[in-house]
Amino acid sequence: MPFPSFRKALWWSGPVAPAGRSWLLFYGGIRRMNGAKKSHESDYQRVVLKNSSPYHYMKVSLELEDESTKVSAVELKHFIITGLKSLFGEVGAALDFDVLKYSEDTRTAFLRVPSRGLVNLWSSLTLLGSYQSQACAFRVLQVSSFLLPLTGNSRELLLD
Amino acid sequence: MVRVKSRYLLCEVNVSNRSSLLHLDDRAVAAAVKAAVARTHGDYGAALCSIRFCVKYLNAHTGIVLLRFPKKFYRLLWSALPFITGIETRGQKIPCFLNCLHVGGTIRTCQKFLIQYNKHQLHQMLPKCKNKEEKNEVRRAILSCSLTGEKMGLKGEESEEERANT
Repeated sequence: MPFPSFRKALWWSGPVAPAGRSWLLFYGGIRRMNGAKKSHESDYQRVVLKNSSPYHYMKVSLELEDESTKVSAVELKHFIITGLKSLFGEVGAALDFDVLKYSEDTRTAFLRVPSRGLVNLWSSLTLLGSYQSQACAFRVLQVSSFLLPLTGNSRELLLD
Repeated sequence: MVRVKSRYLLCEVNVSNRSSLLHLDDRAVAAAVKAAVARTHGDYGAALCSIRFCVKYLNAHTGIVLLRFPKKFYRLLWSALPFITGIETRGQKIPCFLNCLHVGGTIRTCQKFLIQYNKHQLHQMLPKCKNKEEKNEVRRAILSCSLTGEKMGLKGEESEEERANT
């Protein structure tokens, strides 16, 4: 049997398996060597993910001069979108970020943003200087590519 | 050695009314491009557009424009060009759109491409000529742009103008 093809040779390093079953490509860039270990497949499986998260999560808080001002979640999102639009224009304003969770009392929000838009969003948050003609600032508390790390924060640990 | 690198975009201004092309000037084109970039890419794009952007060449007869962008950001600025719907000159707005023909690293390659392009246009024009005089004119223009050497660019421009006149 001839060697399947050069392209397959890149993927396959082992005894030549029947064509078509020599390698498997999973969605999301998961690569799994198959074939020789076929019989042991049910025992264990090693999956290596590289840059698997398509999103980044940010924990931000809005600081205002007048602490009594009420900012609803819709107003917050609109405010961020105006910031994006002024800095990055209509293309930047089309960035599909979400406000996952927002508490009005502390004005702290969890944002989800596609990884390629993280820098854009962050820079526009930095440059947002005034909310309804009063000085304001966004404090980025935590950034992570997964939501789980945002549950704990080493900065907020209480030290006696 | 390191030098400053740019991208030159050879664009064609498409208008419905050909006579309005003569009102164009390079400052108006530059303002239109800057406005489009500022609208689509905001302050960031406008700042990038102010770095090394300029209109290098404008032929008001044929509507050929040569824009210079910094190489690093030319894709971003290029993406704003389709959003140009009109160019404002001397108080009147000319409805038009820019059609990008060629992207080159030097003006020389753009000029070469432009000569080839115009030659092709003349070849297409030849069968459509109605009377003999026009035909001879086009033939002469095609022959003139086959010249090579120092005057290559000049000849190309000449043939363009002849194209506009025929």
